[in-house]
Amino acid sequence: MQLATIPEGHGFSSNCGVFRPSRIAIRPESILRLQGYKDLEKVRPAIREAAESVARRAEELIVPEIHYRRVAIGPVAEGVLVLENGVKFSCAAFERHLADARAVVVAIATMGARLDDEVIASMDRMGRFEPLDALFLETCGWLGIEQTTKQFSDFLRALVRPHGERVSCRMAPGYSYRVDGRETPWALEEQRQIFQVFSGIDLPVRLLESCAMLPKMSRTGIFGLAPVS
Amino acid sequence: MSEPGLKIPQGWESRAPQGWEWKTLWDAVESGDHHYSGQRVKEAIDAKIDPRVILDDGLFPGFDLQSDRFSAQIIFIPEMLITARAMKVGLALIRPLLAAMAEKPVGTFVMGTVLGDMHDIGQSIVTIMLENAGFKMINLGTDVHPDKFIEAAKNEKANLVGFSALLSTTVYYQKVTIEEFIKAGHRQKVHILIGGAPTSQEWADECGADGWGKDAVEAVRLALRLVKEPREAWA
Repeated sequence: MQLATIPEGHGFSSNCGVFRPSRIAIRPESILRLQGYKDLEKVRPAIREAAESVARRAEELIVPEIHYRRVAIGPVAEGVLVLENGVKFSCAAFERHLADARAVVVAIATMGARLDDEVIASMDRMGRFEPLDALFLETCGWLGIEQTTKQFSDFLRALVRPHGERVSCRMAPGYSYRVDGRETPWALEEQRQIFQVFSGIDLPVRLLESCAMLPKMSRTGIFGLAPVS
Repeated sequence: MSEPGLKIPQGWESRAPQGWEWKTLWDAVESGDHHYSGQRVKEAIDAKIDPRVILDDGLFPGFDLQSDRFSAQIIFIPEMLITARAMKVGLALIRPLLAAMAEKPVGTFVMGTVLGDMHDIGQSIVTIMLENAGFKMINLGTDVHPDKFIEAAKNEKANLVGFSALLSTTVYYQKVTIEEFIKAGHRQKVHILIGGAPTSQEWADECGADGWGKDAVEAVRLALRLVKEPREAWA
C-alpha cells in the first residue's frame, strides 16, 4: 500500500497520488454467491472447482491501482458541484451527500488490462472455450474493484481523520442516489469531467466516447471531505 | 411450479441401433461433462447414427432440461454455461456431417455489442446458446458500428440481427442501428432482437426492435419463433 507522508494541512503530501492496495484476496465462495448460489453445499463440484481455480488465477492477474486527486470545492448549490479548477458536475444528490464538504478526492480505479485479456482469451478465442472461466473472471474483477475501493476509502479516512475531516461515501457518474424517496441519477456522461480532473496525467485507464472505460474493470468516483462536526 | 423434467424424445429407440442408450449423453450434457459428451457423440458417429438424430435425440434433451431449469430459476448461469459447452463439443463433431448432408442451419444470426460498448460476455453467452440451437452465428464482437451490422447482415443474408448494450449511454445505439437498417432499406429483411442490462420490452417497443431477450434462454426461444416468420428476401 502506498502511504502518503503526513501532511501539512489536509493530509495529502501532494494533491495527486496513486494508491495500490496491499493484496486482493478473492474467495471462491464470494464468486458463487454473486452468481446467485445461496446454499454453497448444493453447488456442483465442477462449478465449485472452476470458482476455486479462477479465484487463484484472478489474484495473479489483477493489478489494482487507484489514481486520485484532492481538489477544493465551492459550496454545492442547486445540484451543481464546482471544483476549484473549474470542473463542474451536476447531480441533485450532491446537496445531501456533500453538503458540508470543502474538498473532494476524485479517483479512477482499475484492475488492469491482464484480467480483460484473460476474459477475452477464455471466450472461444485463440482456440480456447471456457465461458464459465470468463464469467467467473469478470466476477473476480468486480470483487477486486470492490475490495480496492473499500481499502482506498479506509486509507483516505486514516489520512484525513487527524486533520479533523471525515470522508463521505463514494459517488460516481452512472449511479443513482435516493433523495427524498426519489431516484436521482448522476449522468454517466460526466465521466468526461472526472477524467478532465486528471488532465496531463498519464492514466492506466482510457475513457471511450461512450464513457465506457478500458480496461473494462475500472471505476471512478468522488469522495467528499468535510470537517468533523 | 413443478420442477422441469427430462423430455425423452418419443420413439428414439427406433432411430438408434439395437441396445443403444442415450441416457449417458443426456446426463453428460445436463451435468456439463464436456469430455464425456464428446466421447458419446464420437461413439454415436461410429455407430453410424444419423447426425440429425444424434443432435435431436442425444444432445438436445439434456440441453433443453437445463434451459427449462434456468427459465424456472432453479439453476444459474454457471450451470447453463457448462451445459452449453458440453453441447458445443458434441455439436462440433456432428456439424461437418450435417453440412455434408446439406442440412441447413435454423437461420443466420448476426450478433454484436453496439457502438461504444465494450461488454462482451453477455452477448457471447447468447451466441453460444443460439449456436447450440442450430443457428449459424456471425459474432461481430464489441463496439460495432451500425454500418458493420448492415454489411454483415447483407453479406450473410441474415434472418436475424441482435444488438447487445450494457451501458445507459450506449443503449441509444440500438435505436440508431435500427434506424440505419431502415435508411439502408434492409429493415424488412431481418428480425431485430435487443438485449442487455439497461434494456426492457418497453425500450424494445420504443426503438422498433422485433423482440427483447431478457436472458440467453429467452433470446433463443424468441429467435426460434421469429425465424419462422417470413421477411423480405435478400437480393
